[in-house]
Amino acid sequence: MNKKIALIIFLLQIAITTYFVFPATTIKQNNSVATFMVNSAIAKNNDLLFSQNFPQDETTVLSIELQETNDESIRLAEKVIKEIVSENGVVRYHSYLLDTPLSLQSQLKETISGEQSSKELIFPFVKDKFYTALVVFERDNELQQAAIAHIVQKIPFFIKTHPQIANIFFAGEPVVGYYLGLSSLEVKTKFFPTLIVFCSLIMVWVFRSFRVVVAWLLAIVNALVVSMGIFSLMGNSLNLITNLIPVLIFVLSTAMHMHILLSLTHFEDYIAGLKEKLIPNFLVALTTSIGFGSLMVSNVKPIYLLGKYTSISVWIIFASCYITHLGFSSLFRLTLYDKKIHGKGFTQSKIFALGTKNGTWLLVPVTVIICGAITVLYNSAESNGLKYFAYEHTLRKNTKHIQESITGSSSIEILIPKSQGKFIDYTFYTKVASFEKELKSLNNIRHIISLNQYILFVNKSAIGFDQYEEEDLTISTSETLHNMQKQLRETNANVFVNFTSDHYYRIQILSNAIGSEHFHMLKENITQIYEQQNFSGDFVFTGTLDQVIQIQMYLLQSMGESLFFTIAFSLLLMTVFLKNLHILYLAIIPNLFPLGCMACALKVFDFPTTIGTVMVFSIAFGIAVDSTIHLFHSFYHYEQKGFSQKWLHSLSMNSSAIWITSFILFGAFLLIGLLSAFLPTTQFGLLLSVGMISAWIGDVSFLPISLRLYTKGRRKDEK
Amino acid sequence: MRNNCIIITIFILFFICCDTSHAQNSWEKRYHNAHIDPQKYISDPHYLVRGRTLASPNIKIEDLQILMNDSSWYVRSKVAECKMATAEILSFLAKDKNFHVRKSVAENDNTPSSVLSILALDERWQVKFSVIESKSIPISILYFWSTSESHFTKKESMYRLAHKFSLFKKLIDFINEKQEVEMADKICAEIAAYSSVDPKILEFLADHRSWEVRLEVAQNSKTPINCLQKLATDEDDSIRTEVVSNSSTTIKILQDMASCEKDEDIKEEIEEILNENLSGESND
Repeated sequence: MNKKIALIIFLLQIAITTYFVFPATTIKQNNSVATFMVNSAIAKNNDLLFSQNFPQDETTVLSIELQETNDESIRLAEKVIKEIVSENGVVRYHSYLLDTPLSLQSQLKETISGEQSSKELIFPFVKDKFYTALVVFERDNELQQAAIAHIVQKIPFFIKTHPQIANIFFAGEPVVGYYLGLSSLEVKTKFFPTLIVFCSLIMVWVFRSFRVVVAWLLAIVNALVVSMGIFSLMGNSLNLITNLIPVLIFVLSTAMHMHILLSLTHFEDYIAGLKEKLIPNFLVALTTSIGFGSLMVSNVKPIYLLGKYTSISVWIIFASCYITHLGFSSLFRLTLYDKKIHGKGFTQSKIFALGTKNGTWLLVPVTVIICGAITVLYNSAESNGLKYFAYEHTLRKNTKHIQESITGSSSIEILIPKSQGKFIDYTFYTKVASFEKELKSLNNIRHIISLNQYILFVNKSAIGFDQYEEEDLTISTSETLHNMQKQLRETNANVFVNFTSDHYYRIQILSNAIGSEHFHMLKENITQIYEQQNFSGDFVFTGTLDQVIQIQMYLLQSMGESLFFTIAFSLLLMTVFLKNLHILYLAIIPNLFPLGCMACALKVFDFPTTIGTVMVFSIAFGIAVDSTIHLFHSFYHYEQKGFSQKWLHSLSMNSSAIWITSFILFGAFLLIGLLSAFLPTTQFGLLLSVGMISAWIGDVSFLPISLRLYTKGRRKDEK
Repeated sequence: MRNNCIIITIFILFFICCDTSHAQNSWEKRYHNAHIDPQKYISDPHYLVRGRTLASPNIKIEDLQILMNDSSWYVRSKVAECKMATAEILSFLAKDKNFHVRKSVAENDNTPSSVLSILALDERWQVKFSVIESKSIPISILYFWSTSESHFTKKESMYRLAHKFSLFKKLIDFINEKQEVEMADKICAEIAAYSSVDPKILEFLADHRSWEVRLEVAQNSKTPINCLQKLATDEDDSIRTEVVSNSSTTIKILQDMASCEKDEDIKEEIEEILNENLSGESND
């Protein structure tokens, strides 16, 4: 090839890559609840209703454990809280010294001491050795996450600086979101360096050529940068789901590139080597892009984006592979013809023997697929984001500590329709008072913050904390209720902004961090209690915990449905483009086999079904289909008749590329799985390593058995 | 071999570049140095560092003028707390959107009375009652609160006054000058009832003209012994009875009272306590 053209292509590739470097490297992480918001009418309506009536913010718990509780240490704790939370993303905070008027503080201190006094407050701001604040954040993800990051960074400094402070705990859904985002960054900081270093070392070992590794890296970096650059320029951000796009690009790019490199070792003529793999790679790109494109049927935005950008990326991978070889490889004379790579590791005869086994061997993958399907159906789903972190993780320890000592840090919101006006009427008050009393008795509900709870506090302080008895706290007349509300408006006007609107009464529940099973039980109990009170309309159930659980359940369901479409589309397209209807069933067993193995591995590793586990199925399927297409293409385009000759030819063209790709990725994902402490990443790595190796087994053993049986059947028919 | 070394080196460098986890914030160091050389740190990106510069004795008015427009409310509140803050700076910060800043302005001794009068009407009680912490608080504000219709305003202002003898005295003098004797007595009685009241106030009220005020003083366990001694000879029976019941009353006071007490009931009560005390001592 003309050196000038090669140089132009190479420079063009570098220029394009450079252009996209900045947007690609500055993509933001956004794991906020709003990002995953489901396009469900009820969820959207509830969220809208809440935002129309109340300020949209999210509550967290910040608790300071003191060495001993006295006036001085409490004042210090208040000062530290002020210094910690003075961030832009913090809307407000509530604490004992800030929210309790001095006269009431003295009243509480004089009459009641220690643990009892914490029960008199709306929230246990001071309890045992803990001084706790409720910190309310903006809903804007960027501001919120930046503020949380700064707070988390500052905490060790304050513990170190003040010997009176034993520890500082910080928990709540926005904090979980922050740590999820941080762990998602593992893709950038751990995943990719590990993948690239590991794969490069293997490539050096296999090809013994520095230039091959550079060509491979150039193609991958080009595809990654351009794809992620486009993704960023379109205004998208990365999250737990879309983080998968760069990994998918890496995997698909490595596979496609390996086929091209191995093809070049076959042909003395460089262009002939590239041409040989043009059609199969085009078919791979087409089926994979349409397969992943089917994810766009999902109404969960991150899944839609995953589908859309993976299908675009596949074409970018295809283009960058060929551009690299037409540019860089031609320019620097990447001659692979004399490389003796075929036969390294597994000899062709050994691989061929795998495909000559008896047809009954097909029962093995069928059994594995059935077992896998049963496992997936009955495997428990983990919807509690906290459980994604190791038991020893700061977040889990903090949440556990706060939950055991003070309160739950998960937030549920209940909106009850009421008559117009900021103040509540007496009939409504009696129902609400009774409803809240019942709510408090439910399992997992730790604290309730509402207008009634503030009225209760005003009532207690009016009676005198040493005078009142538990039973006589319900206000007896409409006039007293009105006066109490008037008094409350004077001392805490924000209550009438944050907890009552013209049409709704808001109850904020602080509950324990629970999974979907306990959550649904709790929701059912709340509904029952609500119905007993005969309120005039239905209540609205929302809040961060409700949204998180809904989203995770929906994600699992949606990813399952999307995977089905991916499989169906890919098989259908393979059938159409290879012009053979039999491929539809011939390809099913070897391609579903890795999915079955991974599903069984769920049980073996005792992994619950999470977002991390569901996502691996698409990738393993992608890589399995890739190999199948290459094998099929060589098999059907070899003019000799007879299974053995055709299959031997197909193996000679592809087996090395398939096993090198599979084993490189197996090792890389295994390493990632073993290195990570973040559960979805561990699951992702370990399951994909199982997927990679089983995809190889499926393609070199069960695929030829199916093909042999099919060829035999056809011959009989012909005879 | 040489090629392999180059490749491995490139990979290691690449890995280090990708792994940004080792990057640490140095704001802690800057925080510790901020009060030594404040001018160097007033534009620091970290608000805690900028706030820390205000603790320096080398801070200048010009620095405060820069920091009063800071984007962080924490820094602005630190400016409002600063003893060097001028009336102009405090007047500017009194209009701040954040109530923490206004609260700090209200507590600063340099805040002009005119600004305090505005802050005394603030929508947030945290700001409103902080005005009492400033030395320049106009007495008219205290009078306004003490005569307020709001139960909460009265209660909160009384509680705070109970800890500030000079302010309390000024207010009582102000009311007396207005010849609102009944009002002054009511306030005195209410303040004398606080268990955490400043003992100087109790001392002052022990000689009060109203028996109701003296009664509250006699009941208060914080009343100093010399005041109880004085009240033990009060002309009013109920006051002497309360002195006897007061947990702070010493045996000496009771013995003195027993020797000159004319009221039989009070005398009986004193003897009962003294006997109980004696039997307690002999048991020990």
